[in-house]
Amino acid sequence: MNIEITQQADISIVTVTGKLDALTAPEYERRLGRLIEEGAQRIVVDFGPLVYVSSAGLRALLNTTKPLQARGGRIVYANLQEPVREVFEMTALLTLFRVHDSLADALADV
Amino acid sequence: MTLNNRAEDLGAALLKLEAFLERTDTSPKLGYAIQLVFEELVTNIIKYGYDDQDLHQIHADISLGPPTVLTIEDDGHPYDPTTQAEEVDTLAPQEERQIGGLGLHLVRAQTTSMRYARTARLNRLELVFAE
Repeated sequence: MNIEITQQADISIVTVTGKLDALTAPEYERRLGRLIEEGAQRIVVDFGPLVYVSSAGLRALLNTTKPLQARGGRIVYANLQEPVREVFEMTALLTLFRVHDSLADALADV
Repeated sequence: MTLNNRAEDLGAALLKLEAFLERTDTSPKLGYAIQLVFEELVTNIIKYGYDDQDLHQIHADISLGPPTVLTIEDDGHPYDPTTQAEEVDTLAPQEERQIGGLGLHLVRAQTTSMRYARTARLNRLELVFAE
């Protein structure tokens, strides 16, 4: 997994490449946790290059969404590819998270 | 494939499994399902299968089909996932217990059948995938 964070005005765009699994979920939580601690309030996570997510990865998303929302922040997920989207659908996470098909829509909603 | 009940061993096993599937003509969809089911079940065994701190071996075998069958054996507590109540397919972010049931929910969604046997102090789980 590779995580790249860029800024567009006050929005942090987090691009996640590769696999979000038991091996990489702790690193995802660390990077997002640090971003939130540093004061990020508006985050868009671009999952376009993400090819795999497991329950360990979903847990990492839940664990990073909570502290951000507690601080009044917003996080939006974008660009889920088909196999990843299917796992989100199986777990009804699509209804719990803000998810958009395109980065542009996510940026407009965050 | 054999791995120890340690988180770092799971990481190495996931990479090994991915490399193996890439060498075969397994479809991306089936490859995803196999990796997901393997990861979820082995994670559960490592987290909940043992009371002691000893090293235990977990064995996994894949027979590429059709039908493709994944067999996992461990010497942890007797645990039959086929008789566990189905968790609701939604989860609340604050409910850690529900998140715990998420892995098994994904396993059920990705397989067409699961068969469990407990023999000679081993859990043996056979999982069949749709092609």
